[in-house]
Amino acid sequence: MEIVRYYKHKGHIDDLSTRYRHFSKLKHAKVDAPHLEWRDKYDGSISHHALAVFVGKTGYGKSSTVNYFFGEQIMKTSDVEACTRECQSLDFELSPNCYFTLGDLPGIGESEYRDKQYLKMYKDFLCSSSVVVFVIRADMRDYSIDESAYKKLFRNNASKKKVVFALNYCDKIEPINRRLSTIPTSAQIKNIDKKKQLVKKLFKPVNSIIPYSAETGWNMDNLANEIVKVITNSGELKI
Amino acid sequence: MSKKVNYQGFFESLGKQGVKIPKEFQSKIEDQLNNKLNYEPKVGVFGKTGVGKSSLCNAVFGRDVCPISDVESCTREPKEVFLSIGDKGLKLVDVPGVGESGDRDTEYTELYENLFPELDLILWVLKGDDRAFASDEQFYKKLVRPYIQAGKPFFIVINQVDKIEPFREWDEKNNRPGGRQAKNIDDKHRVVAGYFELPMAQVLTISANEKYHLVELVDAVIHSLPKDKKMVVLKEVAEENRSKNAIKEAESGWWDTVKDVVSDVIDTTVDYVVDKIKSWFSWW
Repeated sequence: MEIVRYYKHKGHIDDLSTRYRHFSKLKHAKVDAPHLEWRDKYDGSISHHALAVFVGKTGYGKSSTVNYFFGEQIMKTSDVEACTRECQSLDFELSPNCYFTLGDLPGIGESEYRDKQYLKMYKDFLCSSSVVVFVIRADMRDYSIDESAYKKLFRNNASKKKVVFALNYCDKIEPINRRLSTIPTSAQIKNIDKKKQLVKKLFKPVNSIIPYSAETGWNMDNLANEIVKVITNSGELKI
Repeated sequence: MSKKVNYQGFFESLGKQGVKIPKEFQSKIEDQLNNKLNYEPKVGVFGKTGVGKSSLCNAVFGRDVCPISDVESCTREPKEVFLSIGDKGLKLVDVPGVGESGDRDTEYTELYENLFPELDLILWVLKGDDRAFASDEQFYKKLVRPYIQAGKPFFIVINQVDKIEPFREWDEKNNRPGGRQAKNIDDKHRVVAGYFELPMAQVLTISANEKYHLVELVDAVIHSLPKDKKMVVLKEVAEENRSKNAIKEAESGWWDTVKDVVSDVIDTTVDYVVDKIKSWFSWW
């Protein structure tokens, strides 16, 4: 089996940790697990990657989240149509040949036909990932596709431990607030809490559910913290 | 509660124009017209949970016909689908969203299959800033398309367009989208029409919360209905959403129905005479 990951950027973990300090905990780490090895298609060199993949429905802001972490519009995004068709990734060096990698996968829920391909792709990537950021939207109520994808992908406790539920678009939850503000209003916070409870009931996640906004940046540092926590708990890294 | 309209003045006016209608025919005509006037139109509002079906109904009809929740799904029980609004009893079918939970989907499929044949109008609601339409696609292709081909009035309503990005650009003062937002709404309109393989005119972009394009929605709906149903539907619409055009179309549709019924009963065409006297009467 061969899974392909394109990389758009190769940098150093400092690129990220200057923006989100939690990532600095990964600095100097050695990635040490056979399933995290990648071979370069062109020169055959081997590198090790603690991969954090972003999965979820199309239009839920996976690419925007990666962009916000990185601080640049590096992943193509669209307000209207789906545009990610393969795994696009950003590599950040931790130690020689070892990387922390943000991987952006295509979104499901666009059409039945594509979903079959993409779910297969998700499955393939799961084995090679240290953490799976399952992005859902706080301002939506229909989670049927998310639920069925989650059930299909994560069947045992070991795989569920890798999942971080990321509740995006908290800036758009009712009652809508059109003034650009980095924090939600208190009425919104109430609805965000209700939403968290609902998601907890529906998915019964192992790790914390992180509400955030990739538009305003609200609570992204907590998301970074949770991602780093899952990676360090996995035992796949020597820090 | 059914209403009975007194047609005596109408028959007298017809008589003065030389169309004398025997008593037994008069009561036949009255019954038929009253039946049509008392018809309870059934509007089916479909869509995933959270697209704003309830808000849409409330905004169009101007009364709180459906409960609204910001977070949780509130239209859960398939049995509660018929909500009566007003004594006229226009029936709204605000069905639970496609999805919400995998187990319930089969239940909904059956429900939808039973509902479609009895509906006069179908509105399929999408959320403007969503682009995951797989479940809509499934239901649309399996359940809706066969019925539209039979000539059923059907619209895709893209609701909450005020939330299409960049949603902070919405011009609240003039109640319209900002520049980049307007472009994205146009793009969405085109993408959705293409996706559902429908003409652009059958896809409407509105915002129930901001009361944006509601008049246009009502115009399109009235235009699509058969002549004897235009008036009964328009009467249930909030006054602020009735345009002059919609009123004109509904009235002329109703008069055409009157002509048909009278001509049918007395077996003589009365078009000319009815056109002459119709301005003397109001149906509102």
